[in-house]
Amino acid sequence: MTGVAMVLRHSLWVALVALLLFFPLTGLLLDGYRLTWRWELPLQLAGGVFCLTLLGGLVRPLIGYWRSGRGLSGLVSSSFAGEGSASVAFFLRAAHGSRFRSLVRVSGFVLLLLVAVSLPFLLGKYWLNVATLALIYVLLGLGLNIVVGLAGLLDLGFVAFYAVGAYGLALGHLHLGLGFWEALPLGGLLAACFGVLLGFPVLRMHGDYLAIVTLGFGEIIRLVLNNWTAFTGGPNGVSAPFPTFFGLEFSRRPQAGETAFHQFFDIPFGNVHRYIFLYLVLLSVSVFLIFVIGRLRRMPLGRAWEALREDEIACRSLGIDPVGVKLSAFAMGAAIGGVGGVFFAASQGFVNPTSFGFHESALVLAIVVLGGLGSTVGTVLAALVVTILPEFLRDFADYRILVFGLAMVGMMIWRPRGLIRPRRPLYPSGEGG
Amino acid sequence: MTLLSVRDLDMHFGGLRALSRVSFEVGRGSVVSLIGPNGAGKTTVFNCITGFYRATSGSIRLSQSRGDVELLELLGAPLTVADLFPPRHLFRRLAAKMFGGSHRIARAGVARTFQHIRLFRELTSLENLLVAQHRRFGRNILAGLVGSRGFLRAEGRAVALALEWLQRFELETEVDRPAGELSYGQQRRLEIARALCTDPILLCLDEPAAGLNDTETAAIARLIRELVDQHGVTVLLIEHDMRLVMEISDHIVVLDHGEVIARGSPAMVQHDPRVLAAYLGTEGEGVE
Repeated sequence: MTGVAMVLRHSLWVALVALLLFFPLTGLLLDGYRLTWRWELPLQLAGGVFCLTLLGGLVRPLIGYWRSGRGLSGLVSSSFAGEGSASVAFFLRAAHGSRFRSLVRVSGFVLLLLVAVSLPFLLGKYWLNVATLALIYVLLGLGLNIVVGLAGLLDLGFVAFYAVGAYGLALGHLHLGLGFWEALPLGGLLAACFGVLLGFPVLRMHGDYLAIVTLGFGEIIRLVLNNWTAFTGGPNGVSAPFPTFFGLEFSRRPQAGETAFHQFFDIPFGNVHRYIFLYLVLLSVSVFLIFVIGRLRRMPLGRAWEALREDEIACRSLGIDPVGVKLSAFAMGAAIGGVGGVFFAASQGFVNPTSFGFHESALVLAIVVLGGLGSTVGTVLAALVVTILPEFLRDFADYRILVFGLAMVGMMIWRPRGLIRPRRPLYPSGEGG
Repeated sequence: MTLLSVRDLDMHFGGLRALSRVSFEVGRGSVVSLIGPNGAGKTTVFNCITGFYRATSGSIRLSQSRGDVELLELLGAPLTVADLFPPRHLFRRLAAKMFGGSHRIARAGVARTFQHIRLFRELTSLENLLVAQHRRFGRNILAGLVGSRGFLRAEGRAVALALEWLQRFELETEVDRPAGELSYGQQRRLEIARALCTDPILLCLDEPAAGLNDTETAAIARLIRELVDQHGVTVLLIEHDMRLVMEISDHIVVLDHGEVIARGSPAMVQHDPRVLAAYLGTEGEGVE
């Protein structure tokens, strides 16, 4: 019981501190020249903090047991205090070993996927757009995570590849008549080429120097897009085509000789159809890429990326060619960023250079760092949090940045290495350890 | 049988002459130690052999099963006018220039460890050894992505070999621990195991016993001797612990001021007056 009492006391303290903080921020009102005060809002906020801390304090030991690999057996064995506890724990461990955990993980994944697939049919158009944007940031995060998180190459110009993908779709449509489906792989490839192009001159650079050069590269791409008016349309931007459903358009009145989606299926025209479709395509691409990255991490190439992050000289001493490994990381990350760009252009229907400022690079980098460098799950989670949280906080308008800042500070205190600590892949025959 | 022969190796850093006309040979299946006072150029020799420095001149030949190979050529030396002809020679030099580098030397069969341990600290012990075995896997990315049978078999073999080495180096309890969390002695052993996982014909150990206590040093000495006697590895060693050197070496090369001052069996070197002078200083006039 002492554990629960401790959590309770801890929560009370936290709530008290929260009250002290929130009172001047939200409780004091300036009414003309008079200062009035109110207690309801600060009290409510402090109450919320209390509940959250209490909940966290009670749930955390559970998670701790879970993560320590003991699963249920650890919990149960710790509550047994007798002679038989060891055998009971052993029995439970045998029953709820790694297979149980993987079962939980797989069913959790399926459940998540079901929710994600059914989401667009439940959401309005506004939230659907938010969800699409969130998934685009998931893609960007995954791409940058390869470069920064796995290969350890600090890239501040990642937005360049995003822009290459987006403009690949828009300009490909304008100049070459490419549609979304052709542009999707081509945009990725084009971005990969740009990744290699950037990679070559920076092969010998590390850390800060690399960051500066990549930052410059990002700006160069943006400036070229902005100033090469004849080709890119300059600041006026270019319109981008929308994906077709196996050749069927999503417009109310299709071009002559074409059939529209709603006509083919004989349903009333709905403006939201196209967004649902785009979301679902984006979702499947994201899931596919998450799978690919998961596999890559267990392959020689992925392991070489991580080894390169840890120690380049040691890599060379083992016969790993750092040039190839670095370029492949740049290319792979850039390709994923480019695919994200294609989706961005398609979802907006229009691109112009203002969407590709340094702010975007910083945001994507924040996603990767918040997620825990190198962790795929963490990156996905952070991308969702960073894009969706501000939308929820719109109601708080004035306190939005405050809450966001608080969340950041909290993270740095409790999770300085990111939301999710990258889990090392373990190998079946390694269970002897 | 000579495995490695170093001839007239010169290494200049600007005006500084780090090595001058260093020559020695390493016999197959033997332990050869490089010793000498601090700053004698031992690690420089190592870095030249393993390709981390590009020697100014000289030759380092490694005899492989399929013939001799000149390690300096693998580094992609700067092109000169003499290289332009004949075309085949030019092509070889250009290829070496494009794809050359110290990793090629490792692929030729020379593995090394470092004076300051360089492990992949965030990766587990097993993963450290798997990284070293990257050449065991095919280069087909698709096979890995879909998890083809061939890929899984290669992975299984790599894991099995890694576990075998971990057991050999008494690290079997640390399989899934990040390498950075291991104790110092364990890290030293893991680094040697990792070098061995590249399947080398020559293993260069840079002060493997540095920072180890007497028991651990004795264990390392035993291990090195076993590697040579049972696994047919050839070892080139830098070490300051003279007891270790004298105990396991077949041949000793003594360096001082970038020059070889003595060569021979441990017993010979121990009584060589020039070696004593280099280590202890001389009375009266110098030896040279």
